Amino acid sequence: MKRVGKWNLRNYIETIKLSVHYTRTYYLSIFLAILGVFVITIVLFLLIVLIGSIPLSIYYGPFDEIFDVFDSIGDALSGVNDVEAVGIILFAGSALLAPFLIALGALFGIGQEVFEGGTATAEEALLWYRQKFSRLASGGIIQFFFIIVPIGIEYIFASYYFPDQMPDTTTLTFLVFIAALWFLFCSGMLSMVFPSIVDGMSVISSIKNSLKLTWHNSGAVFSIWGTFSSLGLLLLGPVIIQEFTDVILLTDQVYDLYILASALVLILLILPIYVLSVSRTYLIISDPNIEEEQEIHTEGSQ
Amino acid sequence: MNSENVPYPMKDLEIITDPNTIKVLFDKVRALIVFKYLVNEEMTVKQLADSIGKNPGNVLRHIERLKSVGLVQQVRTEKTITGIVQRYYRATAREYRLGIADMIKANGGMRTFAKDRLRNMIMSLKVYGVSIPEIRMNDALSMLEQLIERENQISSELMITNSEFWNSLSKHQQEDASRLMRDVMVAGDAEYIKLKDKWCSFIMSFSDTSEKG
Repeated sequence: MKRVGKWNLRNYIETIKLSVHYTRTYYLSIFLAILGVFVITIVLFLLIVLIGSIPLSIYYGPFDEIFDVFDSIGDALSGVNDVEAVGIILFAGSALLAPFLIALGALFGIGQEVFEGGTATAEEALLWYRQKFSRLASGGIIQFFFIIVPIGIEYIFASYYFPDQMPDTTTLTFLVFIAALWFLFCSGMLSMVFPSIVDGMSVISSIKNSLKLTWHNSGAVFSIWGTFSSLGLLLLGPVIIQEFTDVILLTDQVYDLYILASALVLILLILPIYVLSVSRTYLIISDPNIEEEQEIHTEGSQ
Repeated sequence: MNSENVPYPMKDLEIITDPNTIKVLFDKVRALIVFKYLVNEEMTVKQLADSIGKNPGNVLRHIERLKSVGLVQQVRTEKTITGIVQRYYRATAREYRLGIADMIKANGGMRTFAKDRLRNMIMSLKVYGVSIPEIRMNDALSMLEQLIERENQISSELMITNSEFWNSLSKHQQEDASRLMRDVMVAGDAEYIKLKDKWCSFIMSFSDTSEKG
């Protein structure tokens, strides 16, 4: 046995390769787990929208259909000042995102199961979902706050300096760049929160643990996070470019189809590989004394 | 692994007083994981799952629950040649006992359970010709409770510092070593000796042999 030592290129390649391998091996279980978790998530999401629509319908009048609640959130945003708008986004965003964050967190249960138990079962994801429901929800919401609050502050400051007009293109590009950089950096720093929660830690300990692990193993955490966020950005690149610039890359008919295809590739292919990669990285970096089994070379072996 | 560097020395005895911990152990699989396997050796989730005949994911969730109440700890991580990262778990102590005093102080069923258990222990002394009259039963219960509590306190301070050697011993050798060392520990405790003397005198005063004498 020898100590694994510092994270290196071999660890990185091995992690990605094994994650692809296990995603392929257990794809049916992983697919069923994602499907199951997705159904529960949608039900929970609709429930939250329904509950949220009750006070809003009292204030704005009855809705014709449940999704009118989003119009009233839009109305609320347009009629308030910038600080209140950030507050509304934080409040509504955390409530609406919570079910998706729990779903994402529950998938890390499968990740740990694959590497520790050597198998994956769809029902386990649902059991993690149930067992860690409140911790995954709180952990997810705190991550959302960590990521969004500084971006909201940046928005408030920008609105203060440019009260009646949009900032010039250079300033706007700079502000968007800073916000995107923070989003990527902070998401990376917090990428070990869900594996820590699945590992039995409290929400606060998981946040601390994720920051500590990233601080001591920035190469490991950011190499994995960087790989998958780049893949995501690459996939969504045409949509982002088309939405925020005047460049037309996709015709109207292809545009919707592309978004649907990208979402499916992201959720059904990149997400499971990402979850497995993060889980393995977590298992490696969470024990500084990790040992490596040595290959035994017998006489005559090559 | 060098035993000198074991980061989590194992306790010889752990007294469980937290009702939440006791509740966790009410589950048969968790009790099996701790008392049959992890008190004896360090094992991975996969090894435990194979031994118990359960799904590894299920075992992993039980391990997580046991870790959260401090009954199980992760002792080392190993990366296999195939790239699998396996964690080894072990119980935090070689033996677990329910804290009688805390159970008696608790409310409801646990208090009754603890009192009944002590009472049955005292009643069973009849087989040696010791019959405690009902009028003195409360004194007997109180003395025995204090004695057990003190013994537990002392024994729970005993640490297994050489885990590697401990793991190489047979179950009987482990039990013998533990008993010998616990005797040494309690023999050096003045309060325990005082309680023991009091308890012995009390018991002997109700023994058939003392009446005959």
